[in-house]
Formats: sequence, C-alpha cells, structure tokens
Amino acid sequence: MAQLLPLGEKAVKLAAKLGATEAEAYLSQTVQSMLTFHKKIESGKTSQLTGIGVRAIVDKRIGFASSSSTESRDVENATRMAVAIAKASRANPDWHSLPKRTGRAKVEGTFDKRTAEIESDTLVRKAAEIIDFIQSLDSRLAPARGHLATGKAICAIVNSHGSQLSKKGTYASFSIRVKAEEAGKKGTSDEGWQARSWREIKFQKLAEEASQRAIEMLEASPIPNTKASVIFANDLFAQILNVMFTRTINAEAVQKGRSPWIGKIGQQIARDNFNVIDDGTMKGGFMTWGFDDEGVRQQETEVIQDGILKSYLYDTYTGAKDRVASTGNATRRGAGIFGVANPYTRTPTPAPTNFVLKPGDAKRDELIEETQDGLYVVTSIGEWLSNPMSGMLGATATNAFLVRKGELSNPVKGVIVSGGFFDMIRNTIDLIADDTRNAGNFYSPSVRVQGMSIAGR
Amino acid sequence: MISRKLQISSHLLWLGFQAVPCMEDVLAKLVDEARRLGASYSEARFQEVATTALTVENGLLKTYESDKLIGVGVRVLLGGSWGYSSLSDMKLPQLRKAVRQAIKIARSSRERSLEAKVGTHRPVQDKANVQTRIESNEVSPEEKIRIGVEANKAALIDDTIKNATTRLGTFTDRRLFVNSEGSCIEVNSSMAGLQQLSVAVSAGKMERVSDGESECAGFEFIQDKDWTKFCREISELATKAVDAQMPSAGTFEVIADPDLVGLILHEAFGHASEGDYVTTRESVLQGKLGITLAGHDVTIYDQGIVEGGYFVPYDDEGVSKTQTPIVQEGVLEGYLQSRQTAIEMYAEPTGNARAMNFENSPIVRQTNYYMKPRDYSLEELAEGIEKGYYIKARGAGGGQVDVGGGTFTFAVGPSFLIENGEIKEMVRGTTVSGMVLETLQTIDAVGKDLKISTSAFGGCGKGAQMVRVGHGGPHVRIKKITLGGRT
Repeated sequence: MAQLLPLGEKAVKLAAKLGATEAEAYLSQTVQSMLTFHKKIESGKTSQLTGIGVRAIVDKRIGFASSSSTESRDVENATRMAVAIAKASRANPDWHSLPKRTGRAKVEGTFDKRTAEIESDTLVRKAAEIIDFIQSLDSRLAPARGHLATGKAICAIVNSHGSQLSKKGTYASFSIRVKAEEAGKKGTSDEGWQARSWREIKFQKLAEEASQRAIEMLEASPIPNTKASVIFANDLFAQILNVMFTRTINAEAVQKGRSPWIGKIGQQIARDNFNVIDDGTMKGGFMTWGFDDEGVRQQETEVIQDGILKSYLYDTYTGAKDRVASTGNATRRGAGIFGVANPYTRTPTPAPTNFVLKPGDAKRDELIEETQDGLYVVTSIGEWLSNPMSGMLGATATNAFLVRKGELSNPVKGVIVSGGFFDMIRNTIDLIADDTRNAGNFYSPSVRVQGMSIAGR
Repeated sequence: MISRKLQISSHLLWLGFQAVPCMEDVLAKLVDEARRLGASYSEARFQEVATTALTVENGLLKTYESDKLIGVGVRVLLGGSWGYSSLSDMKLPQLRKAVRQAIKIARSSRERSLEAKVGTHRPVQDKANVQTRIESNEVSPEEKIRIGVEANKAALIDDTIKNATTRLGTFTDRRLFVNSEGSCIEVNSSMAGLQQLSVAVSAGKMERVSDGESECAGFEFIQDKDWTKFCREISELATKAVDAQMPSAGTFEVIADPDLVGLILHEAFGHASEGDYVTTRESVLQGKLGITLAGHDVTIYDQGIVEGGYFVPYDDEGVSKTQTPIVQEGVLEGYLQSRQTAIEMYAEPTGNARAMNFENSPIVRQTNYYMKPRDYSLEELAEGIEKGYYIKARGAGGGQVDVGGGTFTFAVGPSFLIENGEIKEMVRGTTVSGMVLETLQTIDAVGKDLKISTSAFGGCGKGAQMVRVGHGGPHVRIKKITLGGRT
C-alpha cells in the first residue's frame, strides 16, 4: 500500500503556502473482496480505492476538496481547490480550530491478519458450504441471495498543528436470504452479521436460523388492526436506535435546532432501565478505532444513564462551540450528498461510534413468556423511514409471530407496527433482555414495548 | 482580488473534463488482455465523476465539498463464471494486474458458477450527452454559495422554523464502455439539484419536511428557477404539518399523487420485475407473464430517456435502453433484463444492467419507471371515497420492498383526509404498506396528468449499489392500502 503520511504532509504544506491558516489531509486506501450467490455463485469482485480529502481554512473560512487519485498532481490540485473554495467561502464565526490535541486510545480487535489476507477462493468455498448446508436441511429450501465480503483499510490524518496519525482495520460481513416454497406458497427470511474479523461470524448458525424461519413464514399473513405489546428482536431494535439517534444525538443537530434532545441534558428522557453509552474503544466493536476521523482519541461516553440524558456526541468544532472537549466522535461516514460516499470525500461531523443500549436483566425467552397477547417482530422493512424529530416510529413487519399466552404462535407479515419512540423509551419499554447483538455499529438487546399500534387488514 | 480569480479559474479547469488521452485504447488493451488469459467475453469501463455539493444551514454556509472520482472496472466471463476487479489507480501495469485478478476470481468460482452466458450482440459505437447550456463545473463557487444562501434564508420564515438546511449539488459523470465484441460507447451525463429540509417546532412537537428538485441539465436548471419560493413553501408546509393530527391506522381507499405513484410502482412492482429476482424465483412476479395483474387502465413502462427522468441512453453492458413495456392494460408483458438474465429467460436484453460506478459490476436495475396517464381529474378520483386519504410524496423520504415476501412499504409526507368525496384537513406524514400483487389490482382509476422526476441527492439501493432512477405517473386511486397511525 502506498505511503499515505508523506502525501498528507505534502498537501498540508502546500495549503499553507497557498495561504491556508490551517489545513488537514485525510487519506485512505481500501481493498475489498465480495461474492454474491444464490444456488450458484453469481459473481465475485475485488475493488481497490484510494483517496485524499483536504480541509483548508483561511481565516475562519473553510474549504474542502477530494480526489480518488493520489498522484502528486491530483493531490496538488485537490489542495489548490480546497484553498480556493475557502477563499470563496464566507467566514464561519463559530470556527475555532482543527484539533490540536490528537492521539490514540489503546484498542483491541480492530485488525485481523487472517481477515486481511482472505481472497476470492475462501469466499467461494464458504459460499459453496452455505449453499449445500441450506439445501441439505429441507427440500423446500434454497438460498435466494447471499453476500460475503471482507475488507481492509488504512487511513492517515495529517494536520497543520503537527498531527500525524495512521491506522489500519479489517471488517467482514455475511448476509443470507433463504426462501422456502411449498404448493404455491412462499416464505423468505434474512439473517446477517457484521464484524471486524471473519472468524467471528457463525455462518452455519445464521443460515440455519434463516432457513427455519423461512419455512415458518410459508404460512404468514397479516392480522387485523389491534393494539398490543410488541417484542423487537435485538438487531432490529439496534436498527431502530440507529434511526432515532444518529441524526439527533450529535451536538451539531442540537446546536442547529434539529434535534428533539435540545435542552434535555440532565433530564429524565427515558425510564431508569434505559442506559446508553457510545463506546469508541470496545473490543472488536464495529466502529472501534484508536482515534476518530479528525485524529482525536476515541472514548467511552455516557449518553443516557438511568434514563437521564448525560451527553451529546461531539467533534472538535461542535465541542468548541459548547466549550467542552470533543468526545472523539468525528466521523466521515454516512450517506454523502450524493448517496453512498467514501469517507475521504466528506468533511467530519459528529456521529455515534459503537452506540450501545445496555442489556437488562430479562432473558429473551422471558420477554415472550411474560406476554399474554403480542407480536414478536424479527425483521422489518422501512423502519429507517421513521421520523427521529417527531419520534414517529413505523416498521412494516416481514418476519413476525403472534404471541399468545406466553408462547409464539402464528407467523405474521405485512403489518405496520407504529408508535411514538419518545413515549416508548419514557414509559412503555418495560422489559429489556440480555441478548445484545449488533446491526453495524449499533448494539441492542431485545426489548418489549407495551401497547403499540398494529395496522393490518 | 485578481489573484483569487485566477486561482479559481485554474481549478475549474481541473474540474472540467479533460479527455484522458486515448482512454478507449487503454480499455481495448485490457479487454484484449482478458481474452488472451482465457475470457470468452470481457468488458472494461472507465468513469470520471466531478461533484460539487454545498450545504447551508440556518443562514450559514456549513460545507462546500468538491470531489473528483476516477477509475476503471474490468469484468470477465470465463467458463460461465464472472470475475470483476476495479481500481482507482490509472497506471497501466496496475490496470493489467486488475485484469489478472478478475480472471483469477472467475476461475476460482468456476465449479459452482451460474454457467452464465451473454449471447452475442452487434458492436455499437456511439456517444450520448445530456444537453447543457451552462457547464456546472464552470460556475464559480461564489455564485453557487450565493444561490444556496439566498434560498436558505428564504426558508427561515418565522420562529417556528428551528432549522432550515439547503443543499445544492451538481455533478458530471463520464462513462466509457468497451467490450470484446468491439463496442465503444461514451455517455456523458450531468445533473443539478437543490434540496430543502425544514424543521418546525410548535407546542413541544417537532416535525421535519424535506423535498428537492433535480434535473439532468447544466447549471441553467439552478439559475432559471426561483429557489427562494421553493424553500419558503417547504417551511410553510412544515409549520402546518407540525400541528396536524396523525391519520387513523388501518386499511383505506387512497388517492396517491404522481411522485408517490412513482414510488409505489418502483417499490411495489419495479423491483419484483427485475430479471435477476425472477430467474432466482425470488420474485412474486415469477411465472406471471401474460397474466392480468391489474386493471385495464394500468400500463407501466421503464424508459431510458424521458422528460424529467434520469438519463440512461445505454446501460453499463452497452445495451441501448429504450421504452420497455412492463404492464400493458393490466397484463404483465415483460421483465427488466440484463444480457445474462435475458438468455436465461429466452428474452431480449432491455438495457437495464446498471452499475453504481466503476467499482461495481452491473446488476438489473430500473431506469425511469412510470405509469401511463388515462382520463380522470383529481376531483373525479376523489368522488365516491367515503373515508380515505389523499397521500402525497413531498417530505416522504423513500420506501422499501421485501421482494420475496411481497410486502412493500414507504413513507408519505403531510397528506389530506378525504371524506364523502371531498379533500379535507391535513394529516401528518406516516408509514404506508401493501402487498405487491394486491396493490396493483386495487388501482381502480388512473388520472390524466403525468409527472416524472429524479433526484441528484438520492437514488435506489440494491446489493450495496446506489443508482439514480426516475419515476412517476398520474394521480391514481387505490382501493386498499394500509396506513400506520393512531388506533
């Protein structure tokens, strides 16, 4: 892999020469391998992408430009462009400075050598194994869509306050959709896992769970409108936490007036069984790194303690504005202005690292056993369309089961589960299990919510 | 002052497309190399994208980002097995290595491969461009900032608006395609758009409404429109919506506006008509060709070039994209095909194999998916609805479908109650859901208007790839759709 730090240094020096009062270069190089399959292997690919993003500040005016080419000439052009944009911009009175105190936290489980070395033949063997396994379980089953991926990335940050940092990491992911067919009826089910290392993924167990549920879903149908307790499976509730907090718990959203958590620090916003931390250093966490995307040490931050809102998530800019230190949450992830974006094409904003709803003391089975009348929702679609400002949550269940007298009964699909999220965390989430699981960088146990609206036939 | 101007103009040169010398020849070399190494078919794609995007929030410029993406992807077919490799490093030895990698991947999955075939097609040499009057890349950052800030300030209508965020974006996307059959196709697309998000707070309640408009055009699209009016209207809608009630939960008769019809078609039907979901027998539309799935009034097309839509003259397999009838007067006529799925289904490719960018191999995607208008006015559609809703897309945000299970869902923006044939008060946006096969069947009246739109700021995601699509139609009446809400 190319030497990223010297390139970054060059960009920062050039920016200063062109009149930037401060400058920062973020460089990355990623290599990814992927395989898609159903009953057969559809296609495999490998992709390699480099990139540099240069942030230049000219007297509180900020410019940013990026390029996927790290050839000298293109690095120079991107730097010139960043400075030119800064000069064309308007001053931001709140600008304080790029981070001056950068550094690295001790973290484990971010880079796995074996995962970094995985090539297409390993993915092919694994896919073949999964296909054979699913088909051996039951003649009604077949894999409908499978996806295997591994990746490694190196990243470097250089800024004009003397910061020179680099990091490397790996990830692995697996997703499988299994379909069951019998006498004109169809059932489908999805499972998946995202981790920092390949060996952490229990391929067979996940394939088995999806297979079993696909068969159960052959008989699924909507139910009439009702109001009932809803049990959300751990990884589904993790996705709901993502929708409800990512865009609102960061200090930028708060400072800019687009968060329901404005003015709520120190207040009871949830029941006392509701505890949330943002843990940027958790071992093997999906977003665990020694430092964030502007070079500040990642850390553990209490967000909600015993139901009381303790802190927002800060990067250097928003921290300076509130006169607090950055919580190490600068990220360049997320949807860019044009959809999927590479981190080097974005300026940093604060966002969660590993966002964790702490486990409760109930067992997953107890959530079901203690429910007289309810719905257990395992997977849904459209939950990401919920509204984090109004708190209006809506999820269309695709794999769900009725719960009657403490037992799972009929399979259900195609009903909309809705409710107010703020009311849920304050009043109606009465049971939290201890079966934590992640959906990307969000970690949650299964939870039970009382009295949700279920729209069906 | 002078030096600043000079500097900017020199950077604009960099952003402007300079033809990389003989890129066609480089791609042809890669394609040949793949053939020498045993590929029965190969293609190489070069792409160069320049984007600028600025965000103004509460009157202040927040970010101005400019990006240039450049790279090559190589796809090979060897013994019925696909291999793909891409990189952003443009040096020839590295590109050659990518070819060898693609070959290696194809070889490693040979035994379990699909035994894919692509057929043979006549080579095409062509070049197609979006017509522009003002090159976006030649407009100064100052001018873009000025328009963005002005539009944003107009959205700050009163104290109820706690946040107004305006995004202005432009891009140019040059794609060059060369394959082992001798095709060489260049497509130059460009787009400009503006998006507004307004957050209103009233009596402790908070609501956000967002909407945008984009067009395949140059910067004239931005300059010719009154964005202050556009942004003000979205804030006004947010201030009304924040005080509105939730609709009732349950299944209702609704009228959907053209943007929403586009979204419904895209989610409820478009994805299920994608050939790859059909060949894997995953789609609920599998085996339904020639069967009546909707009322006689329903005709649906997927079309590469249509007013208001995204620009897809050719797909990323070099197949020309014209008008593909999917449903004709209620009957399922065809599916969306790539070269490979077409062979599997004894059909012709429809030009629907698309890739997000050079990093991805093409998969079956929609282009501009829309319903043909018929004869009803909005008032006529509302007649006879005893209790229902007029559901609208503005502020909606998107949708999703479970292709196998047949359930689809999407969010609607602030909408209206219909009682006894009359459109009444506003209700808050909510979640809507239905079943793929049922929903089309319960469309009982189709309006006479037609609107197709696309977006620079989003697109359709599938298999970790985002592509730009267009969709639309007339107003339609749907007998049965499920709304989330209060019980």
